[in-house]
Amino acid sequence: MEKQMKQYETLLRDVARQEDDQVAATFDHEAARAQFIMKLTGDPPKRTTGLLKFSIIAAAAVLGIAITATVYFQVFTPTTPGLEPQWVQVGSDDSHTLKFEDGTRVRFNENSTGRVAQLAVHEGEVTLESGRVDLKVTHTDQTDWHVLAGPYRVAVTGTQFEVKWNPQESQLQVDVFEGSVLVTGPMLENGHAVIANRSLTANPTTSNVQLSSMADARDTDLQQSTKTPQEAALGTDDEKLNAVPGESKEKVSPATKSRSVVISTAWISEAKAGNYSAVSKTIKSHGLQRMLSGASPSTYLLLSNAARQAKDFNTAEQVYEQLRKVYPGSGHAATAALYLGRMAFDQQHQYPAAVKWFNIYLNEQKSGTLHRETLGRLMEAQFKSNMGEAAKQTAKRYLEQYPNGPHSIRAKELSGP
Amino acid sequence: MEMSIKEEAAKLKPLQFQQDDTSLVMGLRAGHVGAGTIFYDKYVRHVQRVVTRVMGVDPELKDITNEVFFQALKSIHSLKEPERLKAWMTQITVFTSRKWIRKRKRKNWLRFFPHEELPEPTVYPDEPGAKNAGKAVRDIIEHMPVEERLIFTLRYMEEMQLSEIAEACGFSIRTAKRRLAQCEKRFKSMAQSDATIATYLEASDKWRNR
Repeated sequence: MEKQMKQYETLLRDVARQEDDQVAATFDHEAARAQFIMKLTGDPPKRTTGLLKFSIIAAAAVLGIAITATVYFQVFTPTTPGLEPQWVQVGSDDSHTLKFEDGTRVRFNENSTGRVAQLAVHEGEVTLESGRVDLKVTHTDQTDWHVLAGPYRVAVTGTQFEVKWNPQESQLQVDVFEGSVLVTGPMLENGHAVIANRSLTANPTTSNVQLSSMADARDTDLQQSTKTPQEAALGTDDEKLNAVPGESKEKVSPATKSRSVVISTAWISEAKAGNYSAVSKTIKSHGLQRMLSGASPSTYLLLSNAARQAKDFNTAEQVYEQLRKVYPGSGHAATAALYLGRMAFDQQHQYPAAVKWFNIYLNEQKSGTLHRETLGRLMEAQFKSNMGEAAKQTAKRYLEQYPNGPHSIRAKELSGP
Repeated sequence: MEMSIKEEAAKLKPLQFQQDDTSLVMGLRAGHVGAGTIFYDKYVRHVQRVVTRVMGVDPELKDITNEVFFQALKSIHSLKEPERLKAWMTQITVFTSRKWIRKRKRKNWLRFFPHEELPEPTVYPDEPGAKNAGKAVRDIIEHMPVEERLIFTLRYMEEMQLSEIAEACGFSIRTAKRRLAQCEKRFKSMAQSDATIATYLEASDKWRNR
């Protein structure tokens, strides 16, 4: 009876692990975050649709919304900048520049307010509440700076760009001078990459997103010499846009832009619904690079997992590896390493390759449920690769960290007396 | 118009509320939008994990997660021990999940939808047999009374201690212990009669003993 309950406990942990894997692979964190920030910064929740049909329910709902809104605005009305020393508020004839040890520079321009926080040596967050901020971010493999402007997030690994945010008109403008950035937010839920000499404007109120050449395009020679991994892997926006017949090289109209989005959304819906063969067909008909145009890391994982499920292992491998190049050092890149390892182990039975990828994952992710499972998998892969001593050491490490983990019985066998 | 440029050469220190939960709670209470996003980034994975434990991989995970955060932000002034923010978030997540489960049960009863006709969100990848075993486990869990379901999943899937579960669910430890015993018995009884689970356990036992 005792043994049986132990078996059930192991099974339940296995189910939890599988569910974690699935959430990690399919959940669109950027979209969820954008939705949260959108509500946080003032867009009222749209929950009243349909309630008019029922007058009594409507009355109660209106009362409820009124109470909620009262609490909501009491909690979230931004306080006056300047309460914290890190707040930046710039007058009409002024600017304020912050320089960091790695050479990164953040400048708040006239009539701008916001905050800057350096999270680590090459990581930082700029919250632009209103006005204009320009950044020159020094590129390293660990660089992870982003700008939060209303419901939008502009992520960058190494570049020079400017963000304008007008909270009254809900208008975002991102001008990129060097390198590239990834913008996520309303109507850009899956993220859109903006490269040098391009300008993106977005307005959630008017549902307008526009990508255009910058009117004052600067040194084009410079952008050629400063290509980021994103550009190298994705190609330029011009190349991507020219893949759709009839699209302008110089300017993307909202209509054309929406056509591009429709193509993306269709395969994403299929992937989320588990219709992997349909995704596989779309890859063949549209081309992989076009589907990944400006894609967020979550989208990369969604596509690669769909390809893996459709047993198109070559495509899956290609997308996982591309994700690691485009978003190096990110959590998604680590997840890609884990899936490469699992694919090598489960489908291709290439155990030395599995050892390599599991080790990469464990180096990049130091804790979490998947860490435990991966350590167990690493031990098995080493054993199957005839790496007896390495398997023994991993088994000992596993038992130290997870003495009751699902691989503990196997680890005890391998770690020896 | 010539602009004056102020330069701040020193390395910035991180914002105080990024260092500990007490400062973060102060930022949230002061209404800093930036604190809200930091709060979200810090706890979103934890919230999603707990929701997934209790509800499985849910198609409405995004909405449930965001509701947890808005509930937390609305009642942040009532948090008595800011340094225990994580435990408090677990409690709000459990309460929110319970509300969603009950809401769905009511909705299904009103609509006369049998459980099996609801959308199937879960797809278990890779391992042969795991998919069906996982589905069978979830079926059993979904047939448990809500309170038992919370205790059972937090204990055996999230591997929380009994005292943590009692706090998260708002029970005494004694009640949590009694209910855990009840749901263990229920789970065993249902799992024993499930052929899919039996087959999976047999196969994985062989694998583990190779």
